[in-house]
Amino acid sequence: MLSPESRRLWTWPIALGVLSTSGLLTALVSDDWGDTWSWVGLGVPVLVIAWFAWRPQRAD
Amino acid sequence: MLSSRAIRIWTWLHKWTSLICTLFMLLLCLTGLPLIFHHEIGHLLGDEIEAPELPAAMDRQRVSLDTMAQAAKAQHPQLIIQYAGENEDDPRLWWFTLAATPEPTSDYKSVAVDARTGLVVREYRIGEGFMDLMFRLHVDMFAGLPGKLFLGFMGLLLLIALVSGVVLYAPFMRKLDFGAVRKDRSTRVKWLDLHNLIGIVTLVWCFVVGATGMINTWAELLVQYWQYDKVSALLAPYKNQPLLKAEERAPLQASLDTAMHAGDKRKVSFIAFPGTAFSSPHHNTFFLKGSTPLTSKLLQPLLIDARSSQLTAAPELPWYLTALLVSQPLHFGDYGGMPMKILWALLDVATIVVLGSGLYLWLRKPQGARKSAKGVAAGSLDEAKSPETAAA
Repeated sequence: MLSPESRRLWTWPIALGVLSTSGLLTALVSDDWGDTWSWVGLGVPVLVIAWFAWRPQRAD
Repeated sequence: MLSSRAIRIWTWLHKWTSLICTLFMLLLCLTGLPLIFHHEIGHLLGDEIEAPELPAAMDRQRVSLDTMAQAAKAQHPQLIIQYAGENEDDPRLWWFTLAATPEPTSDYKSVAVDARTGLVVREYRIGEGFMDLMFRLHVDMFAGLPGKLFLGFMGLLLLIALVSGVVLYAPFMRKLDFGAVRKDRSTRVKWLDLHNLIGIVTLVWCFVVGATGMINTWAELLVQYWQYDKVSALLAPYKNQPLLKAEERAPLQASLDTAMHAGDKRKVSFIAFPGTAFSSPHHNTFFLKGSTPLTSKLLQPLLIDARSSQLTAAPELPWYLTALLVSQPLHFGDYGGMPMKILWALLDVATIVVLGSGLYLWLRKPQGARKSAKGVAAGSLDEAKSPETAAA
């Protein structure tokens, strides 16, 4: 299994990668729930970028 | 964990594959942005053709394919019809492309015909306007097949840059939390963090769009290979026959009827007329499609003798062409409604930021680090406080 360090490094990237992949695929097979899920699957990564790029700096 | 030697090799790979493809990728991202919305922009510019308002009762009424073809041909009597098909969005319209020769050419006309009345609606604007410029720059930079294949090769470099970027993500992020952007440090550190963050988050999307784009550049070659590999055997009885003369051809509607009867799919994606790249000198080749999101991407070819209107063969589309067709929407982002198009555009912009920041990080590499590439060794990477020397 992954070492604790690898887990810390890769959990987020893998989760977002799986999410994106699922979004890209579901819209191919279904025009209703599949489309809706694709907006989540691709929208969350976009929000993650926006959040980390523009969030206020922690004062620590 | 990567050895310092491995890191040097991956860094070298990441640097050079990115540097070589970056300018072309910027071109593709910028021209691709308006192309995501080509329907909407075409609509705004008045380039999209709409079916005339007629009583709804006429919606299902169809004139014969020959009537439509004659109407299109009457627009350009000196040209011949290469391809025709049902409008993807509106089955009441058919399009016909005409050119001086059946050979592939970028010099062609496209005419929209109303399938209910057989009257020409309008001509599509081909080879002019802003969107056409964007399209040509995106697809082949006005350089035909060599231009396409060149961009495909740039796409391959992008994929290598993405993979090497993922490998390098680990040593760079070891001491940092996911998403850390050190804004209190130098501008370069901030952009390094943003490069890593946006790069890793957009990775899957970028890889999929890059890979499908690269595959798309091979479309012409794959079709040619299929014809050489499989279709030529099916057409053996017709070998060496000249292009079937117009007066020897049976009515087109008879071919269409045969196609509708023979195929298990019911919508015409397009028809390739005799002598064109997708047909033989003797056949009307029908490419039928299904009507669900997935089956609409799966084409069924039917080779129909243009003289007898009999079905010659219904070859299976080979796996590589099926893969190509299924992968196309993954490049275009046109299969999940307007929200998906907007997300596609945002991810495209994010990719532009990754490309731009990568270029910036290379240009702004501090003196000294450039001289000793060994500064990229694991030791200095561990020191998150001196990433100045780390990124290539």
